[in-house]
Amino acid sequence: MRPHDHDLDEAIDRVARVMTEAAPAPDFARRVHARIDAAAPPRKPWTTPTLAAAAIVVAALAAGIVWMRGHRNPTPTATEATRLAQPPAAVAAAAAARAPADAVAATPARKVTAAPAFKSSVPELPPLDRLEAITQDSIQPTRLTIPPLTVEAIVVPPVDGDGSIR
Amino acid sequence: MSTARVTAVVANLVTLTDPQDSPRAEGREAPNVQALVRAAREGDREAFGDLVVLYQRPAIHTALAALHDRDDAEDVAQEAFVVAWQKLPGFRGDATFRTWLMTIVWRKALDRRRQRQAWWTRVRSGPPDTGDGLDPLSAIAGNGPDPERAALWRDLTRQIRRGIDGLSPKLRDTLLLAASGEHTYEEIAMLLRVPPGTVKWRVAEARRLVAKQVDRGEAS
Repeated sequence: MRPHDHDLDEAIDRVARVMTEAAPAPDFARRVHARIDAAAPPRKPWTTPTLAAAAIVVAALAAGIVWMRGHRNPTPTATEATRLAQPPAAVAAAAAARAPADAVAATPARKVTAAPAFKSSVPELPPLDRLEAITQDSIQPTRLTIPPLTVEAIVVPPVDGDGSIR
Repeated sequence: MSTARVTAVVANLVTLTDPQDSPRAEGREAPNVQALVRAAREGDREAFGDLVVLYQRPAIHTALAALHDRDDAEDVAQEAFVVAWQKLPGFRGDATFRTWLMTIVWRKALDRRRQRQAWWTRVRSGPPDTGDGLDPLSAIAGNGPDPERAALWRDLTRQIRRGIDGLSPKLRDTLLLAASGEHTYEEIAMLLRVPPGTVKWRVAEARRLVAKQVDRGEAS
């Protein structure tokens, strides 16, 4: 190493230091605050779990509603039940009868042909035999008898001052 | 300039302008800083303001190491503080708040440097802008009582400056961060994402190359 290496290194460090030296402007902190105000407020630590919990509740409610709609079995009204039981020809005739006169006039005349008689392909099943009532004997549990417990007193031998048992 | 004269000038003038010791992040943060960070995480703007005042200087120096322009450095430092405020709720405390903040500053500074295509031209064309229109290197040279020595020092600092400017970005960044007096080698290693040993090697190599450049300048 040359004798002046250390001094030259110091000079290099000094110049490099000067290159990175600058005093902050007096209003530096104020300008940072102004920028923060202009930007969106920070997310608070409690916001994320709260939002997550709210999302879970909403999702559960939505799933519940969907499930209830899917499993609800609406009882048909008397009119609907009658319509379902009738053959298609009868349904068409009934619809024509219900249609208002002006609506019929507005629509082009169409010849309604009688549909062939509806025949169910499901074979009729024989009626079930009458079921007999089931009678169940009442249960009579036997009473348990527990003998009373007897506890004997524990006898502790007296102990001397030095810890030995007498 | 002969080597002996350079030695004498440097040896004399180095003692004239002793650098002030900058605060370094030694170990974990002080309890009062930890309390400020905790309060700021809960949304306390006043506590965050205290942190800004505490770290504004090292933040600017760090940005300046990458940008060589005071206005840019200050702008980037402010930007970094805003990002720090926004990300503070997610700060896990794996590193100290200071190191975490300086990492944000350094990344922002590198982003800015990448954005500015004319940066290299600006650096080579003149000294960094200190905002007062004065060359800071001339300010150092002006401290010498002897006009001849001051002129020699000015010449030397210009050569050193040229040598630093001619370094590769990796060596220059490392040298400037180390010389800024704001960071330990460990902190620089975290900023640059390299092992501390690499930081030490880069600083030594940067000094060697700059010294070589100065010697070459003397010879010519």
